[in-house]
Amino acid sequence: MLFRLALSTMIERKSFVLALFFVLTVPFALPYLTPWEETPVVIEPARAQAAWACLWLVTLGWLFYQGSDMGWRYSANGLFQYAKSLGVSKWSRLCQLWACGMIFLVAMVAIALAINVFFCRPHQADEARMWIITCFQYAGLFLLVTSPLLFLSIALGSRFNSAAAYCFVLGISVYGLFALPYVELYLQHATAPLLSLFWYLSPHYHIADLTSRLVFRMGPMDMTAMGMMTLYFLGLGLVTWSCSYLMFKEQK
Amino acid sequence: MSQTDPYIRISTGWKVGYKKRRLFSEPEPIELLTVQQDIVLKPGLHLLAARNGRGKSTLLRTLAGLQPSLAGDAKAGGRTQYVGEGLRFDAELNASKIFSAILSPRKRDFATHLAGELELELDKPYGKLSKGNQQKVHIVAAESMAHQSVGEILLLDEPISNLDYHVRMRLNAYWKADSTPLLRIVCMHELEWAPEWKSLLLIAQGGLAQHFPNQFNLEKLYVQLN
Repeated sequence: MLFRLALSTMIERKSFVLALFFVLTVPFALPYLTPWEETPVVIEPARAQAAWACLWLVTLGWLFYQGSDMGWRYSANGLFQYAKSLGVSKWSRLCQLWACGMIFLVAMVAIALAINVFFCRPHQADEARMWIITCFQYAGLFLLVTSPLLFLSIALGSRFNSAAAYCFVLGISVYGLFALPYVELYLQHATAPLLSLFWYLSPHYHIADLTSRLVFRMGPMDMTAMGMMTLYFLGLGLVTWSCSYLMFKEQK
Repeated sequence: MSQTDPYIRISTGWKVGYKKRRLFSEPEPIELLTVQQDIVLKPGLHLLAARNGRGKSTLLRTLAGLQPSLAGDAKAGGRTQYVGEGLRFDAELNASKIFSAILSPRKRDFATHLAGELELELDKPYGKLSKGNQQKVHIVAAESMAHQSVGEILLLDEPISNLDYHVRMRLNAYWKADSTPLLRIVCMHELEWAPEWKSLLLIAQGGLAQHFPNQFNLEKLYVQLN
């Protein structure tokens, strides 16, 4: 019930069209804004880079806000309570909204993956095979990072308001993706035990960003490394899901 | 009453209220009402009346399992559906899309029929409907979900406060004619319909009591409400 209501609203609002359009077109347009004529061979890696950058941007900038807003609306408008009175469990209520957001997330990942596989793939058969494996690894890690954060945005939205919840999720995502490598750099030159501990406990989302591996054609990660990363993100996801469950509030 | 019929059993001593949170000490229970006699509600229409702030909504929310009671036992035998005063659907969706999202295809047909009876515009976005028409969306959604189902309990919190006279009359006629064994508790301030309904639940002087149509006098009940 909540899933179909949320999906109907998302479709009615039509903002997803803009998001999908952005993910679909910008990777093709952006590389041509660079002086690509000097080295035309870089156009395909640049397109791949743009595709993943757009995907991160739209997920962080649009989808997480949609999640926070859904959580806030359904809590403030009494729809979570209405569903609860019908016997819909807490998990189910949260998961139904999450599933609605996941439809758009998976669609966007599929678009980015298709652009990478069909429009950026190297011409040599061996390289192409490695490229495709790397792309699928990247897509898997991307989903492992973003899907729990989407869940968190809904739960926080239900407790606070959409803006506060979104800012928190955006903050933690930006911190894990972009700020942590700088903290690591600082720790290489300084002794700060507390900061070291903080660094260890931080969500290392940046390791899921395989853009450079694709652009510089470094090939896929070996199965052990990929397995370790999958386990790490599954664990992190479990923590995020548990925190989200505790933060969820059905009524303002 | 068949075994599948919905019921509500409330025992003597059942206390309804809420707990006021405090920063450094135990939450303080704020008691709104205590039940002074065992109450059994069977399928049919039950009117719940009280003055503002006396615990009508809290009572319905407690029966729906949305908040705990302060003491005692009450059991709702059936699937409850609490339609609160604060319920709002997304502003962009029209009634037709709301019904499509929450109802099965068979029940959608009934919703369309009931919406027609209550003069509800199906194509107008919910956010642009008047408060009365928004209430109609809630009523139609809840009634359609419960229609021809087994063991349904509808807890309607002031569902007709914004409806015009004619729609109220039609709704009352529908409720009285409906053959589905539904248990409806309708919270409202007007007692005039009570003599035609199954029972009247009155919250007064911190207590909840059940009155049956052949046992009460409306004028005395209005006095009792004060």
